[in-house]
Amino acid sequence: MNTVASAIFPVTSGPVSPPCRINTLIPDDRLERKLGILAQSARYDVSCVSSGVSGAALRHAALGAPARSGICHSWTADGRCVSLLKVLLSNACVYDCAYCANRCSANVPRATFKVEELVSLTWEFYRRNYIEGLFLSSAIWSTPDRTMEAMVRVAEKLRYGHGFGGYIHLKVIPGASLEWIVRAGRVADRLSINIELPSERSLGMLCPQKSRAAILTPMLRIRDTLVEFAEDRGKGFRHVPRFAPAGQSTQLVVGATPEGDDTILRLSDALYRKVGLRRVFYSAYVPVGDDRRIPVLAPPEKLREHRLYQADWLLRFYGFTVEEIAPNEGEKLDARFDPKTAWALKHPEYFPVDVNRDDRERLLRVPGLGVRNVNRILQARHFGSIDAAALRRMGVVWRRARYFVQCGDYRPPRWHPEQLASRLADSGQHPEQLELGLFNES
Amino acid sequence: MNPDPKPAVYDGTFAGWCAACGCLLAKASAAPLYWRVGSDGDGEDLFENTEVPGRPADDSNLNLFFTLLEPAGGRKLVYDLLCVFLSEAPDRETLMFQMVQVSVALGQRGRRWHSRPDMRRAGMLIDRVRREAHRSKGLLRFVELRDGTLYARYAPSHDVTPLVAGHFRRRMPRQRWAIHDEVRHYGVVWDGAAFHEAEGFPQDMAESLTESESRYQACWRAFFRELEIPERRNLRLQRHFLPERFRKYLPELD
Ligand code: SF4
Repeated sequence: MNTVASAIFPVTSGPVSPPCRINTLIPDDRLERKLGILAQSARYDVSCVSSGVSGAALRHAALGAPARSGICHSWTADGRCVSLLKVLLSNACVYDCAYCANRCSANVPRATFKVEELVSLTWEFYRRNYIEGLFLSSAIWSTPDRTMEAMVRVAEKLRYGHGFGGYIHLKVIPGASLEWIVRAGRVADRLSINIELPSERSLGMLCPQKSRAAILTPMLRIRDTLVEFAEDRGKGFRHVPRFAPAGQSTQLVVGATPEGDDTILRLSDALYRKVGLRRVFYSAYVPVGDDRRIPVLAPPEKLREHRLYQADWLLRFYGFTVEEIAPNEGEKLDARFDPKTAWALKHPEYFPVDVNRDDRERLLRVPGLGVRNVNRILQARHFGSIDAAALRRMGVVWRRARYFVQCGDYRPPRWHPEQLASRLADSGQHPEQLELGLFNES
Repeated sequence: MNPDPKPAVYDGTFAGWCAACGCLLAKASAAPLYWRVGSDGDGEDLFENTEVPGRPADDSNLNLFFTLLEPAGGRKLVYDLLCVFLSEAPDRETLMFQMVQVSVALGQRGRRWHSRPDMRRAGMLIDRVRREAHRSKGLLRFVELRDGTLYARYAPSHDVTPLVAGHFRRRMPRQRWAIHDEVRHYGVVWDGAAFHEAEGFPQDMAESLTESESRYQACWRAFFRELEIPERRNLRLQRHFLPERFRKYLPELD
């Protein structure tokens, strides 16, 4: 049978190996309570992504293979995807960051996992298909190095001790030595360091024990190591060890300090371009205490967070520059429209875009057209002219796109930016829908 | 000149359909009037050279089919055909044959002809099946039985078990596990080396589980409960992502 056939009708041969079991703990009430405490402490970390790893990375694993596009295993009552066992190793922190529920001055129950406990939970949750893997972070319960070492030991036990091939995301502890960071990268699929706040001034005010250098230095070191490994692979070296194949990411708290979205977007842009980050996550600040260093204790700015994700998407996939979409200094993104529509309303001279003639770059700038729509349009153009009905059938958001495109005999109505702004703002989404897809990058 | 179109008969399996299609292509037959599942009758004699219809390893028509398809889209095309087949749509065989014809005539780009109604419908079915398979890969829940087997039940909207089983074979190659489709009343078992069709399923679940199973489920529930940020509660969004047909199998929603 040829290769195509065997791919669809796999026939396995060879000796039957005994089912792979490891000696896992049988959890008791105490472990259940501990898990509750350490999951609650980790819940403000929004990243739960498990994508970006090649399936062949750990071909001989006893259990687990990462899915290239990531898989969500459940959704919480607040609509966030759950794909990883996201916990802290410990929440007994010696630091005192104002916005954090685990700061040493907060009155919360404290707990710390033992290595075997976390290994058992990860292994058994994975077998039951609850999770894609482990996302391990920790409060700094001793020195940054000792904390990082304990985290690396959990990951090493899973990988080397038991042959676990599932996804592992390790959070790098600011201030940990480079030796531990490199060791972490050898066993983790992704590393991340939370940049936390958009400016050094805010960092100094709310996290006095953390410094910009303690965050940026390991980020740059991870970038350099990733580049070195990629170069070695490019030179054809066969046994280049894996190092954080899903790259590195970070998280920013939004709304705890007065910076505008311009500062946040410029920072994200620099992190993508200069530090090579795969993702920047935005987390609307949720008040977790009454620390007087936090200036405003308003409800979480979910809409603002959503607009930042949309702008972030435009930077990464739509060819926009930060200058084109960032608001004026100190301002937030326009809450009434998505950032692409906001840009289009300021640039009427750019439209209409001809769906049958214009290139990909121009099509991507049309409000209501996503990357997938554009790909379909470009493919369909091989077979003939596209009309308005065909666009709608391809899933284009016609309600918005109809003002900005022309195709076949369709010409868009003339519009004035202010009139169109009020019309498009009125046809906005319901607040409940705003988060659709937000945390579900696959 | 092409012979007159006739109804086509195949054995009801995907392999059988591929073999039948290979036979039609080899004979340059016209598109069949309709497709029917059976082993004899008034249709095109598709299996004249085949000893055991539908057994892919022995079937020369099947190999012929794959050889013809290799330049027209190869593996990707066969995967798409399988998705349309698993959609269980009443017109699936006709659509699949049209996909093959378009691909053979136009190569890989043929199936991207989104303005053609049949290709668009095929694309829509493929998307639906892939979505259901992807969702099932995340929402299937295994429980550990006393003999060490991991056992999962579910009720997918399409017959996605063949796609889902391949995923878990890669993921849990050295475990013994079984997946049971409660809508179509069949299941597959992976024994650590090969797939088998399931011959029976546990009747009394409570009796069949290991001692540690309920403890791990309790831990999972404790974890899940604590993940919610009450200030961001949005049950509508949760319902949107967790369709009703999966909810009764999820221990975290107990
Ligand atoms: S170091 Fe981390 S865990 Fe500790 S208070 Fe600061 S943010 Fe919280």
